[in-house]
Amino acid sequence: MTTHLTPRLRAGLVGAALLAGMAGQAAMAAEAVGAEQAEAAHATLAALAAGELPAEVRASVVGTQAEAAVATESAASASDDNAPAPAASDEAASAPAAQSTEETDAPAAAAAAASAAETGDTKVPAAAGQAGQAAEAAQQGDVPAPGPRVRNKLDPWERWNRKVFNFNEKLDENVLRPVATAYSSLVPSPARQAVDNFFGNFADAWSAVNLFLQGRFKTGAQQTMRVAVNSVLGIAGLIDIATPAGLEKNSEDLGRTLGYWGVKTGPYIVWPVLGPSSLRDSVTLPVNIYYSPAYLFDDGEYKFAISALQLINTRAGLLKVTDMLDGIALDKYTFVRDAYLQRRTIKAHSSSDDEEDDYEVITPDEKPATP
Amino acid sequence: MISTKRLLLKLALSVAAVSPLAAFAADGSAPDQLIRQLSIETLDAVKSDKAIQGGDVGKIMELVDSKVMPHVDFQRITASAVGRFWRQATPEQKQRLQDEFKTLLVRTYAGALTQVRDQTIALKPLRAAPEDTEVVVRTEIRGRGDPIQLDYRLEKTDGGWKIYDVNVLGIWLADQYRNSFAQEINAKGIDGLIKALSERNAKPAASAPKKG
Repeated sequence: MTTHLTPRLRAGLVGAALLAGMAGQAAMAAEAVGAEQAEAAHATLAALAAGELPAEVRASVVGTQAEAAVATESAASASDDNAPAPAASDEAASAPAAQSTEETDAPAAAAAAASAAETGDTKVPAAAGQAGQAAEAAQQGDVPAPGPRVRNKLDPWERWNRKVFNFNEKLDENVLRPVATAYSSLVPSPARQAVDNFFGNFADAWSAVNLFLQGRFKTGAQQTMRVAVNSVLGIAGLIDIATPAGLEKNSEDLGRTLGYWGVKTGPYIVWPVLGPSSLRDSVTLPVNIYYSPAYLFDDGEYKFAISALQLINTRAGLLKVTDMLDGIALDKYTFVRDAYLQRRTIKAHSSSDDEEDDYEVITPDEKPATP
Repeated sequence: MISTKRLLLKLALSVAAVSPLAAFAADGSAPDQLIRQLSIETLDAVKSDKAIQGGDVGKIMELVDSKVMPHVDFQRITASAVGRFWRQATPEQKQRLQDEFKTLLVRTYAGALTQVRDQTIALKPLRAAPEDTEVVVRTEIRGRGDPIQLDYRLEKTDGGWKIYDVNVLGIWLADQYRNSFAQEINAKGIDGLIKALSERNAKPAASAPKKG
């Protein structure tokens, strides 16, 4: 098991096993709760997915049984060998030939797959990401890629993804966008700002955890300070007083942390309601549901209410962005996909010393001569 | 007489002392200084111009053409976005691609510039060796909410440093459009892409939700 594991891969596997544990927990929690809470969980999930990138809002407050199935599936995918297998084979194929846009780390991925294959351990949690799955797929031999012709190696399931994307678009157009627009025009700006700050503060705490997991201790400490200041002096995060005080926001999440550990983004996946994701980021979804602001509340109704509010808040914050998106994309699906993949593709351990450099704030006063 | 001469000498000296600085800012002999200068000028121009804040695309185009474009290798940006098809394009097609692409981008930023209120710009220290001819300058636009990452790739040319790619929120511009462009060219050829771009540009900015 340990012979050929690079330290990076080992770290990834350990993390993934940890994750799988958490995923299981989340799945159990999801099963335990009734339909209403499941809806709430969905709303949260959607909000989280949406929060990752302005362009990727595809979500709705409506939760159906089908969507519930999707979530449990994603949560339980850790134990499912067959479903992700074709995906994995594709990933194995696409990783070495990764797009020119990507800083190629292909050998690492290949090595990861190979060494995982050597272990012969089919019980490597699927949550271990592409490494484990690719290994399984490799053992099974070449599984033909699903879908018609593979145009983009990073998007092997484009045909299916496009269908889901169009569904999400319709849902957004008919439900979420109108609700968010109404919210923006009815609720006064200070109140909306407070709501946004509250959720922002919660997200900041999660970012701080992830910064530490990424080994970026200086930024992590700063982020922790930010949360502390806003939680105490900013009345449970309703007022953001840390930003004016020079404690800048640094958003990180578990998917990015896995990326830092060397887990590749994997194929692009569009989930119904939840929107754009990738194989790697899908793995983190259950954890994201569990540690959403709804976590703070025990009662089902409150959980639902807070999740719905979070979703509406997120969507409302993106109204201008999505309007802009309609104006600049030749093909919205391709545009959103490429933006998502670019943003989520992280160089493993991107030179951390560079990260720790402080920005120099330029004020217009420094300008040498005014015209 | 002597005092006049002295005055003239002083004047000449001070001009000589100042002019290298001016030249320094204008021809961008240091890439991060160029970006700093550009950022400040653009932000100032936007803050002092109500028409730009209102999203007047014509005014913004004017600003871009006068202030930003002299420091941008836009042909390289377009070529990079068009990818392998660029070599197949005629000079005329290349020019049209550049024009349409520029309009598309300006329209994009027209929306963003209407949001400019009390933002400041933060610059990361440049990590490059003096002999480097291609560098990345990292900046952040700070205001309400998350800071907006805005990075530039610059290349040293005979005409000073030129921007040849921009990264907004982790997304490199040329990379972002490469697949979209290829998709269009594969389906309808280079002229098809030009047509698609100009049709997109003819639509009103920030349009209502798309039908269908």
